[in-house]
Amino acid sequence: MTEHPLHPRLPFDMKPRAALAAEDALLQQFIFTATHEKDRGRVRVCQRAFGERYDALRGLAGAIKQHTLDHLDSYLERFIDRAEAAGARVHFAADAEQANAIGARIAEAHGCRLCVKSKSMVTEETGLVPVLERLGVEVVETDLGEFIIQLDHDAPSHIVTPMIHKDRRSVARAFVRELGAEYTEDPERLTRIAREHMRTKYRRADLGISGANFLVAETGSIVLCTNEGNADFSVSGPPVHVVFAGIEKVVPALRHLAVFLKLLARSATAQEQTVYTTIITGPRRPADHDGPGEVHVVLVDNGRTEILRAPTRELLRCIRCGACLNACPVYRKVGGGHAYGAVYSGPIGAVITPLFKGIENYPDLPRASSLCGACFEACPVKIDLPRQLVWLRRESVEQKVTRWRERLMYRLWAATLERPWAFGLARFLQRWLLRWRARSRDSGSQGQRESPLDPRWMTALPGPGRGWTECRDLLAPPSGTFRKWWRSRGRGAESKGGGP
Amino acid sequence: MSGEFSVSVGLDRQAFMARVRAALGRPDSPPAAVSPPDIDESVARLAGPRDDLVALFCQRAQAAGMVVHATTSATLRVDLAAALEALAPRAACVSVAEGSLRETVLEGLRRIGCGAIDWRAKGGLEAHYDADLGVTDVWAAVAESGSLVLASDAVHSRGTFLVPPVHLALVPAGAIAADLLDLLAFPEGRTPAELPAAVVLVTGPSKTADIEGILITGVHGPREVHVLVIRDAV
Ligand code: SF4
Repeated sequence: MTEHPLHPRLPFDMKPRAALAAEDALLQQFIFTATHEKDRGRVRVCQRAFGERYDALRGLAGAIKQHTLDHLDSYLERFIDRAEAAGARVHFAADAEQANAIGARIAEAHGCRLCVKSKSMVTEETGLVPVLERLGVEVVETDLGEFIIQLDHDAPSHIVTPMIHKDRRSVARAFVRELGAEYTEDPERLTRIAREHMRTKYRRADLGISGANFLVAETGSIVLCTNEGNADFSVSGPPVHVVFAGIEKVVPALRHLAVFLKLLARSATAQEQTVYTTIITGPRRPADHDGPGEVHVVLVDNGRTEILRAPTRELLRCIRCGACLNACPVYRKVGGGHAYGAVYSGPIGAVITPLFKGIENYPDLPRASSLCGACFEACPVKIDLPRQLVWLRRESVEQKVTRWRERLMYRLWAATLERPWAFGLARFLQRWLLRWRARSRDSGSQGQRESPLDPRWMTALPGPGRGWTECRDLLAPPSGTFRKWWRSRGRGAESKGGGP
Repeated sequence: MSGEFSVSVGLDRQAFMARVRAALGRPDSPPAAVSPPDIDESVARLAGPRDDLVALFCQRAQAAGMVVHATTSATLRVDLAAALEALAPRAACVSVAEGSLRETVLEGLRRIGCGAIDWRAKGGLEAHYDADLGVTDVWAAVAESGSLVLASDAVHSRGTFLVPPVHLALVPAGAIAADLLDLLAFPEGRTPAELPAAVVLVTGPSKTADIEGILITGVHGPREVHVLVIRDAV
């Protein structure tokens, strides 16, 4: 791979990757099955648990997060105070570089050699791992999917199920090549190999790194959710635990956390709860026999305060459940996350990536959606993603990021709609042109006298219409217009106002 | 290793918070005291005190993939012995608070000739790697989700429910909270340092579906979780 999947050269062009993925039948099948099943599972599990309250609960969760963001200054101050009162150290990173530098300084100060790391989107965003590696620290991703991706020098393609794009054979090959394991395609045995390998790392690690699913202002706690238990190993064994967390992760109090815990796993993986939900409040207590002696929390901005400004604030409600990815027909069709060329993919990625990195660098993303609304329906905190996408499209027009051809087209469109004569002319030309190109489907004859039972079809349009007719035909307009027909019905029919 | 170094990279707290306030459109005003929103329980509550908490907990825990047995104080000794015999561990780690329950567990282990590892001596999680069974009581349990809640302290290791391949948890009925809302309530006037450093909700055996979506248990943590609910214990 010449280009990093998630950190490509900018500006990023989505189309080549999407086109490649559309051709890959196996990939299409993987992604479709995985996302479709998760999406259906989410609906089933949420309906069973919440019934008619599902919508109201999403509203409540959204309102809690929105309130927290509206008062983020107060809640962050409270979180910092309480975390410090519990014995944690809090650090502040304005951007990726600062976040990585803080991580590097802590690792250096303790002379760390081996780091076990649980899944964290923020560190993916800041590129922490290569920074630590350059210092000579071996970093091991402990989430099974992330571990395999790390061995394969690949990149995650889904924020919850990172190796959604890979099959067991690629895992088997990576284990043979990198771990010297015996070749097996049995997922059970592959998992055992990873388990034993990882245990040798856990036992020697001197640094544990994690993200945070939530920060609790009331108690200064950080909350980690995993199914494998890898986060618990990573943050319980080593003497130092460093947490990287975006500032938007705060919730007011433990009882609010309960609301999000009810929604997170059900939305993400159609489980009632994640297997391990871990609430860490400061380092080990004096009487404890295990747990890290030091807990550092690195609060990361890295573009979040820009999004915090209205009108994009609601995007920071996101709890990274991935439900909008699973629900999105575009995410499925473009072959998963890599087509988005950034750490965050799917509908939420399509909105926040241009905001993080500049619309001019990701001109395709605001349009990588059919605006069908499936993401909005799925979102446990009711982020109006379609509305945000439309807003972003308007921004990209105003910033003249769209191509001149598109702008010219819309300019002509607007001019035509403003003038009745131009509109009439355009309609006439469109009908005439389409009928002229159309042919009867069966006989293939062109320009014959039509009957209503012999509709005519466009089978090959030129230019930009070609994509459409490559996989289906377009019905040509009939000979008479609706207006003409309406007039011919006469006044009597009109006043009745009924149907036929 | 000393905690006395200072990390002088990054922003200081004031500068960082100033960015947040600027983004909120109030660069100069100090953060106001806000009261967090109420939680409408008619929307959020999934289980209440009127539910049969033991039955609900057992059902949910089972659905989450744990093996659940119910017993009473009178039959605990016999049922625990049967459970231990079936599991046939060679070495076990025990994180159970001092008291009769702990004595019952230790006696049960002795009877099947299983050694109890003194994990406190080694410190850290290390001793747990030699155990093939971890036995714990619980800090609490949650009926709504079938979760065990474990907390770290002087006699409860973070490793006992995590490192050995099999975990056996003893749950007195009185420890079962109805809803997550009941578990996650932080009493007024308490300080964060009074909370255990780690509180872990365990809902099922360790699992992954990372390889082609196929569900596999025991990826890092235990592949089996057995629960013994004591119906009449508080
Ligand atoms: S936008 Fe909503 S659905 Fe998408 S990941 Fe975030 S919380 Fe989940």
